[in-house]
Amino acid sequence: MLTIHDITYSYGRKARPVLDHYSLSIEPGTVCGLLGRNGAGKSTLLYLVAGLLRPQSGMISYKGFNPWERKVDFLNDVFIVPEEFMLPDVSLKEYVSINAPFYPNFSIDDLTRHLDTFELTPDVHLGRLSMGQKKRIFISFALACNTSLLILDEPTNGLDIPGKRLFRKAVLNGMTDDKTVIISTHQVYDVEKIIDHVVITDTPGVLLDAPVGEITGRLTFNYTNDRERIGRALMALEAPGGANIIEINDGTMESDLNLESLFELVRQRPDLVAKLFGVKTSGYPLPEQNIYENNINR
Amino acid sequence: METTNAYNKRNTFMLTLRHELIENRKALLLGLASIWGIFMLVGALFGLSGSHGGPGEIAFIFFAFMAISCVTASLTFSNMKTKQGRISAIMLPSTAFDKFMVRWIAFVPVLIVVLVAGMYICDLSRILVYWLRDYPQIINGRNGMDIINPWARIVSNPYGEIMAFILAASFLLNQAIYMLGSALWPKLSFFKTLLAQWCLETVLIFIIVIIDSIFDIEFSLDFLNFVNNHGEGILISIGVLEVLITLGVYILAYLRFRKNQVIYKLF
Repeated sequence: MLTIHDITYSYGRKARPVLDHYSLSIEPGTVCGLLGRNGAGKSTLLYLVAGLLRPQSGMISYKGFNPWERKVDFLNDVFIVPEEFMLPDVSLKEYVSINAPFYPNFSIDDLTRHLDTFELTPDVHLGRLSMGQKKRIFISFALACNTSLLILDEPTNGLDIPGKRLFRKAVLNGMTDDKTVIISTHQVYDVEKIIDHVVITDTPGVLLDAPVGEITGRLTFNYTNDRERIGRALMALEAPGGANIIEINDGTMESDLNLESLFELVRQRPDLVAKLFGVKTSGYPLPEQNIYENNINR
Repeated sequence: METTNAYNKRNTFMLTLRHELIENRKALLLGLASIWGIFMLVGALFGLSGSHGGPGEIAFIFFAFMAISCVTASLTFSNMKTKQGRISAIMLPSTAFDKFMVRWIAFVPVLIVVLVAGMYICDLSRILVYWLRDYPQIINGRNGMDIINPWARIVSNPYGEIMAFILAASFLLNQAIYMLGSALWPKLSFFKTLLAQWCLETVLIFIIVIIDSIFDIEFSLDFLNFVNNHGEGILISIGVLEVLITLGVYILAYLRFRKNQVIYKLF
C-alpha cells in the first residue's frame, strides 16, 4: 500500500508550497487517476512517490520503503513513465538486454504481448522511432517489468487515436491484484474507462479521493436538454444541444463516470464534494454527513 | 527476442557497468577516437618538425594529459544535465555507489590507460612521419626513432621519483576537482569549475605568501632549490596531502551525486 502522510513540498525556500500537509493512501490492485489543473502538484506528487524529490516534511511509505532512500529493492519494484523521457540510441533488443536484468519480475512474454497490443514488432531501433512509437515501446517495457507500482505521467500525450485505445487495453491486460497504477493526466477521456479510483488534487491538498464505484453510487452523470432538469442539477456543463449534468443518485439510476463533469463539480463546488465524500478541502477527513441534507442546502 | 532475465542483487555493479557501456558506447568511442586523433595529429607535426624528445614534446604530453583529463572529468555526470537524464539515472535500480563507481572507473583509471596509449600513438605517429620524411636515408638507422617515455625522463632527474609522485598526485587532484564540478554543475561544468578553480588558487597563493612571510619558509617554484632547502620530507608530505584531498573530493562528489533530485538544486 502507498501511504502519503502530511507531506509538504515547495520549489524554493520562500515559494508557496505546492503540497501542504498533503495526505493520501492508495490500495494495491487499483488503477488510480490523478487529476488536477495546471500547477496543482500532480507531477510533483508523482516525483515524491518515486523518490525523485525529497519532501520537506512528512512521510511517504510504499511497502515499508521510504522512496527518498532509493533502496535497490524499492527501485526495482517501481517504474515511472514520465511525460518526457529519453531512450538511448540502441535497438530494442539491446535496450531490453541492458535494462530488463534490473527488474526481477520482468517477463519477455509480457513484453511481446504488450508490443503486440500496441501493434509493434520487437525488431526496432529506438533511435529511429517517432515520439509516439517510443512512448508505446516505453509503456510496453514498463508493463513488462511487472513492478508492483507503476506511475504514468500524461501517458497518452503523443499517442494517436488508435494508440490511446491500445494504451487502455494494455493497462487493463497488465493489471493484477497486487499492482498499483497511478495515472496522472489531463486527457480524462483517455482514462475514465480504466480507472477505478479518482484523486482530484489542487494546491495544496486533496479535493476528492474516492473509488469510482462510490462516486457513481452517490452521483449520476447524464446528458439532457431538459432545461428544468439542468436547473435542478448539482452541476451542468454545456454541451452541444444540451448539457452534461450531475445529480444526486437516489439509488435508482446507474451511470458511467464522466470525469470532465466531475472535475468541474469539484472545481466549482469543493465544499459540496467534501461533504459528499468526507474530504475537507485542505485534505483532512470530515465525519460523514447526510448527503440529502446537503443537497437541500445547495 | 530473448532475454537472460538474469536478475541478481549482488551483481548490480556489473549490470550497471554493462548498462552504461552499451548505452553510451557511441559517445565513448567518439571520445576515444578524438583523444587518440589529437595525439596522432600532434605526433605527426612533431615528426614533420624533426623533433625528438625535446622539452616541447614532454610539455605537450603533460599539457594534453591535464587538459583532456579535466575536460573529460567535467563530463562525468553530463547525463544529469536534463530532467529526462536525471530521471533515467536516478530510477535505475542500482545503488548510488555502483552508479558513481562505474563513472569513476571510466573517467579515471580507464582514461589514464587511454592517455598513456595516446602518448605512444603520438610517438609512433612521430616516428612514422619522421621515417617517411627522411626515407630511405635512415632506413637502417635508429636515430630519432626511439619511443619517448616521459615518465622515464622525469624519474631519471635528481629527485625524479618524488617529482613523479607529486605530478601524479597533482594530476589526480586536478581531475577530481573537475569531477566534483561535474556533480555540482552538470551544465557548462568545465567552465564553471575552471572559474571556481582560478578563484580558489588565487586565494591559495595569497595564503601561501602570507604563510611564507610569517614563517620565512622561502617558498619557491624552483623544485631543486626547494628540495635542497627543506628536504624531501616536506614534498612527500605535500604529495600525500594531495592524495588525501583527492579522496575527500571524490567523497564529496559521491555525496552530491547521491542527493540528486529530478529538479536541479545546487545543495
